[in-house]
Amino acid sequence: MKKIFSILLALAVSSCLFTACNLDIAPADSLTGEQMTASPSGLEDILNGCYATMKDDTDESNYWWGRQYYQLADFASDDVVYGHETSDDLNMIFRYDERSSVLGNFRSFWALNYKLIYSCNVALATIAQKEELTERDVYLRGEAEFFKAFCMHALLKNYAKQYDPATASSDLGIILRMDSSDSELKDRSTVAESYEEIINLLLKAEQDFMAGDFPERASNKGFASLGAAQAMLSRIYIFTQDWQKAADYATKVINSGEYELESAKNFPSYFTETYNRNETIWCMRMIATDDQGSAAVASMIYNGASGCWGEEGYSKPLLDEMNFEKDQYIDVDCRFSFVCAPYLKNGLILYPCSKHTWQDGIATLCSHPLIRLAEIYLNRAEAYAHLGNEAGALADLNEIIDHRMDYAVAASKGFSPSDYHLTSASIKTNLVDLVLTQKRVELAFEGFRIYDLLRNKKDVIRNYWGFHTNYVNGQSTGLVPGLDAPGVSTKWNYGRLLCPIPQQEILNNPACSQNEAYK
Amino acid sequence: MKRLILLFALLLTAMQLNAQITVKGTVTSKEEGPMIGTSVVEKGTMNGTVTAEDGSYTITVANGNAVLIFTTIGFKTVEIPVSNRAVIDVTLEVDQQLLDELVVVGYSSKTRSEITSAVSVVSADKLNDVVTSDLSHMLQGKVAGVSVINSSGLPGSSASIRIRGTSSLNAPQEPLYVVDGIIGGSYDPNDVESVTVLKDAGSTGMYGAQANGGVIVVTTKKAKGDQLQFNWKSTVGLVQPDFSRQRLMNSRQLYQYYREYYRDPETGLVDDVAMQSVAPKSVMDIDTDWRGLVYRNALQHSHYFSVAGRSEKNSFYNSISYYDEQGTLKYTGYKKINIRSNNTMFLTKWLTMTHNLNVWADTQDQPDDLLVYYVLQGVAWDSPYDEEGNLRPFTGRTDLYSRYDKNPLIGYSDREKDSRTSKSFGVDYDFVINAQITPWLSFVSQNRVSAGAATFDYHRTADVEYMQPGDQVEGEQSLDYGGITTNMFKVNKDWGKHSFDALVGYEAQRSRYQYVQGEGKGLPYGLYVLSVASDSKDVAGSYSISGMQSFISQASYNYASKYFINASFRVDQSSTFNKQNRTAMFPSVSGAWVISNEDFFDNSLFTNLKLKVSWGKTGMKDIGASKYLEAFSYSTQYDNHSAATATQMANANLKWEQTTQFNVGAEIGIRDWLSLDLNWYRNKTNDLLVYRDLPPSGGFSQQWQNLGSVINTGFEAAVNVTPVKSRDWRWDVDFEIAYNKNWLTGFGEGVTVTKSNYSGVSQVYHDGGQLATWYLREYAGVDPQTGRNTYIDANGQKTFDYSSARYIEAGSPIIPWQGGLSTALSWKNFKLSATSNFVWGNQLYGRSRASELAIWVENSLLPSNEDKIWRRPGDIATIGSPSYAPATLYHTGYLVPGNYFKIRNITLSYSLPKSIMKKCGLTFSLSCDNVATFTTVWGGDPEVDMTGSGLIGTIEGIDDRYPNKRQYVFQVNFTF
Repeated sequence: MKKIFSILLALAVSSCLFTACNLDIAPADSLTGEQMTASPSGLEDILNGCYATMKDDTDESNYWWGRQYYQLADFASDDVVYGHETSDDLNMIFRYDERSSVLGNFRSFWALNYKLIYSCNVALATIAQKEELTERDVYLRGEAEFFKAFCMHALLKNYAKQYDPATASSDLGIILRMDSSDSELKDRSTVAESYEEIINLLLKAEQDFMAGDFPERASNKGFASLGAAQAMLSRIYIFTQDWQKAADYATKVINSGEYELESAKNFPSYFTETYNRNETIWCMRMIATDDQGSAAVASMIYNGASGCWGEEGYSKPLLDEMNFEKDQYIDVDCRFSFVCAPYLKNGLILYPCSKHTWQDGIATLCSHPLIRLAEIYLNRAEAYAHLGNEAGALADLNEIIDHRMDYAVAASKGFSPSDYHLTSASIKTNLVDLVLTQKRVELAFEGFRIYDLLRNKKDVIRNYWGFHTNYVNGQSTGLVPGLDAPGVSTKWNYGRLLCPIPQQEILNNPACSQNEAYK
Repeated sequence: MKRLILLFALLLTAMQLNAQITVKGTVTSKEEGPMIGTSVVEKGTMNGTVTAEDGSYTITVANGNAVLIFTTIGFKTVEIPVSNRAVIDVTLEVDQQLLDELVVVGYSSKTRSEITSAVSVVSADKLNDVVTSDLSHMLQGKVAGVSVINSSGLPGSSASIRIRGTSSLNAPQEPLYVVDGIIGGSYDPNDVESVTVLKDAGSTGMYGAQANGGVIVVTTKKAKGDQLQFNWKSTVGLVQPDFSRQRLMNSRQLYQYYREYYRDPETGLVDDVAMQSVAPKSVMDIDTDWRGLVYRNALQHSHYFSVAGRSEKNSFYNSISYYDEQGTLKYTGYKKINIRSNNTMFLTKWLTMTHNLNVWADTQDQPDDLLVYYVLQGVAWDSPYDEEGNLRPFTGRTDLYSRYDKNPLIGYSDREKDSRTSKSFGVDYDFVINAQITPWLSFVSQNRVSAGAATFDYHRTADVEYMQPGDQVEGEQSLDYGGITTNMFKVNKDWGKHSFDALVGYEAQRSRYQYVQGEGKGLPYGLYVLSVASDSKDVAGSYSISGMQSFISQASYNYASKYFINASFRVDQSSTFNKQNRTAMFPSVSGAWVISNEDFFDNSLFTNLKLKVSWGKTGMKDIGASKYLEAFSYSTQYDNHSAATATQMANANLKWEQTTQFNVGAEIGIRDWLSLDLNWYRNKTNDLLVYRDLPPSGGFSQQWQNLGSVINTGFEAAVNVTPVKSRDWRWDVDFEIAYNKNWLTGFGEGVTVTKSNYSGVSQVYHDGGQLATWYLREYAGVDPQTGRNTYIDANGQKTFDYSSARYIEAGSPIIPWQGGLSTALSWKNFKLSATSNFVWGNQLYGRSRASELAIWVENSLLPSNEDKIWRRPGDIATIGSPSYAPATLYHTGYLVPGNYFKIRNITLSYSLPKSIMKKCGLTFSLSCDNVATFTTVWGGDPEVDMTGSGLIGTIEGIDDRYPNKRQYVFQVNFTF
């Protein structure tokens, strides 16, 4: 028996020794910072992670990046009817007065963009540490610079006042994070400084994209590219009112030969495969498994499938600008194909929107086009309008119209292309307004409208019924609400048109200033 | 030699036959009446007998000078000289010494009187009033200072347990379970012999880094006595949903409240024309009770069979349990089977070996949270059926009053279309060697290997309306396994009045969890497995490992059973932390003075008087592996390329959360009718593990940090009284009450940690404040003139503007007062018992108060009786005019006291008299669980989950919790 006992004792002791060995246990699905630097694909992976962050769920799944990117721009504008009161924070995008710094959507968009900026800084630091750069490294550096600039602008246009040459050097911009170790508690820079840094990054990106080479990425519209950097510069110069440069960069993109406008025949199916279409300069590539379902960009504005809420739709003023019910345009303007059949929602007649839908046969899936060629034509038209080049501006607008009108159908109705073309006679107020109207029609629900209004100091007039006003279900909608009705008319410089700096930032970074309206 | 003596004795007996006399009599006791099975032996002989069912005996003794010895377990042995009497009746007294039961306190067992710290024991008979598949529910209201929160009625769910309050912000605080002396493990409630709750560091210090939440020691059954014992128990019950005070409007009530939307706040008149254009009176023709359509009266039944026995070489206990409960929500339910085999082999006089094996498997049919939600979103005016009585799709309909165009019944009523099932299987094997090397030294090796597997399967078809669009199939399989080994030398030595024992040992544990998960869309008709998905197939899978090694030691000494001292020291090393912070030390010291054992003490009234004091440290490490590392996660992709996202910021300094505990207590016993256990404690938890908010502009929103301390202090009193105790009657009352208070310190000036949910409801943590203090906009009631909500702004002035309302701190959901009261009254073979518990003094955030009309039409929650609606200027009201009430406001007006008193259980049982049953026992009982709730909370159940790292203590008005249950159970318990 003693023998058995000693065997058992030996077993027990050896089991101790066996289990006692290692307490350094690394996670199975992550790498540490050091490991990332050492990994041959670490740099690429970090950059891919940036793109992934734009499309992925967050802990608060409704508030993923892409959803906020579009909602903040479109739902705040005069393009969209708010057709159903919701406890989702998007309620406060429509209702400026209820905005506050604790809301999840404003917090989440702020945090995600800074997370992206941090990751770009990590990528840039990784490249800076390398002794010798390959052409691929240089190209990837361009992507990091571009991406950082893009996210900075996403913050700047939402959380700060629009660029005004008179006040830009004193208006508060965003907190600048220059590199990955820059996490000190500090205040926001000015709007001018913020734009300066964005432009600086984009110019570097342009250089790097030209100097570097990475064919697999350059040929994939899901990744940033030289065209994207130049297109982004044309967009940024529009914001900073640097018209000549805006026009020059737009021209670079248009003349590059890389992109072309979709035809009226093809455009209705554009959103189902943006990543394959020539009009796309850069899209947020989503594959079937990335589908956000009832939290997708489409789910709030589309009602054509089960699980789509369809609570928002085209506003009456926007439909009017589109000549929506005019016989001349019916079946001719291919953009009408995105306007869904009207239906009654809470006593409101709602026209949902089918952009951002039906990629890979999935109602809520879309590789959202973040930059497409039509915008670049419109940027140049706007720049030309300011530069006094009326012919150039009208030519660019008509280029778009030529690609959106199905002239064969028009002919069958007895109309010729010239009946659709814009001329000096089309200008009602001024040429800039004409451009903005065309931009509104072309890029509705694509994340532009509120900024176009505010940077042009135009008031937001939402003189249609919806829950942005004091509308009550069942109330008569016969008469348009008056300009003095609650929520209808908002001055362009109303403080709550800016997003609040999230409370989490203010509480944990006391140096950071809040926007005036939320103090 | 022995044989010779025996022969000689027989011979002597035979010789004395002529002098024999016969003695008769009855043996009784005050407690049990007639004593069956008492042994009656003539002193100094082999001559003896056993009493019959009525306590009677007859014995023939050698002569009139003989002495009789009466012995039975649990009673004092009595010796009575025959003195030539023919009848001798005896009354036996309970042996208090023997009642001094053994308490299992983890690595060792101690008698009750040796305990020097705050420890509560709950025996099986007190646990088993409630019929459930999970032990946690059984502890509710039974242990002072232990709060058991049962926030779901889903069959198979377990309650969350907090011992002595909350001591952390983000680290988990569930107690550590120790089964049969080994950390971790599984068991079925039917197999539980006793549960010991270790509440202070005097005893939990031995568990070091795992013991901040206290320790629950579960001991499973073993054979008792030499005879083969069979036990069969069956229950059958009716289960009903218990919605607490959540009432829904019927068609007519909804109509009345809906009219308020059309009331002009200036004139106070209702525009019925406008109202009827939206909701004509005919809407009242339909009166759908949505809840009634999905909830049901469900069935529960369970069966348990065990056999136990013991021989010289072997002791065994084998059991099988089966539990089956239907959910009150249709198509949900839980089934579990558990098999246990406990075997101890007495190999030699000095070596015993124990093998315990527990195997279980269960399956749970779960509902989707969304279903519960959408059912509460349905309004009475909408019918789920079309004219032919078939379910009608809601999608795209514009003639609905419900908030969403989703008919939750579609798909739900068909398991082929919508089902989610989890199945799990687990096995624990314990192997224990106990070697008595010398009379005072032993070696104990306790080892356990565990393995568990779980699967989760889910699918839905495209026409299930309440889900996301499209069909989906999802599957997950996981495996966890691990082992723990504890090897100890134990010393036990008594000399004179000194008694000393000690142990020293080494413990190591390691576990691994791994999973694979897949999902897909595009299911062909009638098939629901992953392989057939044609679209969007996606997989995930990973593993995690954790390990720990420890040195353990403990020493106890007592002198003359009057003075006790106990000390322990443990060193833990865990894989959770960085190398330099990996090791932590946990000392403890405790002592007791049993005054009632002093010679000077007159214990005629106070039979037990004991003072005890303890000090020690415990820790908490369970925040998940490797939280100190900078991490880039690869759990995503971009366009099918590898992608890494920065998920965690490094914190090389991250270390243990440690609690220093101090406890003083007293035990008082007055004869056998009252015992009182009093404890006061003060626990300070340092280096709180906080998942702290950062300024997001730095790239990360949160980081694990050690920050500040929380002090928990409180007292606990437990009283057991037996006011009536006679032959036929017995009445017991147990009462527990506990008070806990906490405050924070060491955060630093101006430092506030804020936790918010997605809608901006916040709780704050800072120096001087309580844990989880509500931080909300200040509400000031409904303005009588206008019917608008009013708030207090930064200047202390009333305002209508919600967004300018100031934030104030307003109480906390942490429970200060709680307790339990249970009582049992027995008369002859009948027994009536009841258990209740209460909570008092906390604040919950409950939107279900429905204090705004805007919410009603969305979900038809009926306002409470105390609410009054504003109708016209001058009305003093609690609910404002809907004209001014947006749907999404969050303010102090929604805070409600979380007080409640619940009658947990009432049981009536009857045991067949022993006279009929001879050696068997048969008991019938009828019980009701969750009998009644009296609460200040209007709406859902006031038992709210206090776990999780986000906000605690919220009841959303339209919450998606599975309702609690009430059940009526009939039980038969047969032993033979």
